Amino acid sequence: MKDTQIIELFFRRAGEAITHLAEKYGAMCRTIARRILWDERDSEECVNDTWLQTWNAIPPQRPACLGGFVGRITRNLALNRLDYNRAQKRDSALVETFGELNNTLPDPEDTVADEVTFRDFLNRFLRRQSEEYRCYFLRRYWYGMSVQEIARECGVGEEKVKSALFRTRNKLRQAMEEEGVYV
Amino acid sequence: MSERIYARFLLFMNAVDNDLLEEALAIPKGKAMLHWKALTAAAACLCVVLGLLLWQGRTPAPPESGVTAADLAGYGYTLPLPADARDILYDLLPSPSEIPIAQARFGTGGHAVTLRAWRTVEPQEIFDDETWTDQMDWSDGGTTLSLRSNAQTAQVSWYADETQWSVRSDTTPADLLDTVDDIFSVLGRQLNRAPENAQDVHYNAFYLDDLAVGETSFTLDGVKYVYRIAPTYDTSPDFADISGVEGDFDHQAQAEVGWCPARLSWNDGGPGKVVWFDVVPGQLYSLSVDAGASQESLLDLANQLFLPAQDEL
Repeated sequence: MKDTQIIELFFRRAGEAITHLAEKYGAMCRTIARRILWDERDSEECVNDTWLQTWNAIPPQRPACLGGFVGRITRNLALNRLDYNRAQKRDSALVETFGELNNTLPDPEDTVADEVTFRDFLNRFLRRQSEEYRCYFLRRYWYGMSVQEIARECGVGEEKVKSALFRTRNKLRQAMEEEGVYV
Repeated sequence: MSERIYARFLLFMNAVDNDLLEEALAIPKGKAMLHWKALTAAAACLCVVLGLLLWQGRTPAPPESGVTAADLAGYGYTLPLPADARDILYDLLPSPSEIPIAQARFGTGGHAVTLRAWRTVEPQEIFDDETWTDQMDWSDGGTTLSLRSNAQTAQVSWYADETQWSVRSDTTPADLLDTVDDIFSVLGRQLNRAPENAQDVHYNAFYLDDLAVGETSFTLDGVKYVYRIAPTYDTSPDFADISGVEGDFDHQAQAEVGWCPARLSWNDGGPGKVVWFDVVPGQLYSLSVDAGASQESLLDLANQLFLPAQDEL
């Protein structure tokens, strides 16, 4: 079923909207949750909560990209549960992937940027990148996808993805140093 | 991972705007390019095949009935096609009476549409039976319409001036309703309620809390508005809010739109809504805006848009 048809079902408050949504995006959302959480039951609960949040959000919202909309909700829900998982002393795929980005960031100096300043800086930086590079960067470090997955889903070679990630990491480091934004 | 790095991780993870996170999961450019390349190759192959056919004098003939708009006019039909209709094929279909059913098949907005009309003294079903999963009936612009749909097909029908009209397409109800809105404009009737200078106008209809809602969305001076109308039998003073817009607002006020009691909620220069209720026909209204709201601007546009149902009788 097309996204627009599923959204129409939500607008009509038809129960089968959830069925069609889960059929189309259930696997994707489960994968996103599993990259952030180890616990299978937690991942499943995140996905179920995603359907509930989507039901409450549409209407009034009419997302332009339904897959991105529910994927983002799952990711945010899973992150909220991450602290509990960490108590079990196991790092998830997403946390481990972040290590790769973290290694290229400048060390914090005496002055550390506050949350609002950093958020503003990071989004301005991301919006300056090309859509393609931004997509690779966010998929890798914010969704925890492997380089192979990104290359396959985006229809490009792995070397291109690696090269784009390398350049974007370096640009981020440079931008942080130029603007004096240390975290 | 140390606690310091983990804190940094959480800071990064929670710092990115939602629209960027959603965009990253959308269909990537690279894949679209692959599809484009495949389409280009397919188009090139098609050109070669068509060239060969033309060279051999075997041009493929389009399916034609030989019926023209003039033939339809001979039976008193002038089919109201949207301005952007293309690849139009007319036909006359047999009916149980002496007057045939007029048909036009055409393309509009990227989908194929079939429009049928039949001059008859009472409402009739003029398409073949179909298994519908969703249906709704509502009145708008003084006309009662019915929308039927399933996962593949949508159909809108109405009866007016002793003619049964029906439009069917393999598209979404929302897309088909935009086409029906265009057809209504050609007929000189009004379905959408957008102001004359509005842009990006869309008409939709759906159930909201068991109410059949007719919705017009449009852009005016760069600001997006949504105007909704729904009939109701509930005449209680605490009337329902059909705007679909929820959340906390800085300001709330009571006012009147026309002679109707109205409730306003808004943030100065931000989103806002006004809902009102015309008790005589039992009609709920709402107007919502996503930016630039003020009490005066909401009431001003609501009063401009409010066309009392009594005037339609």
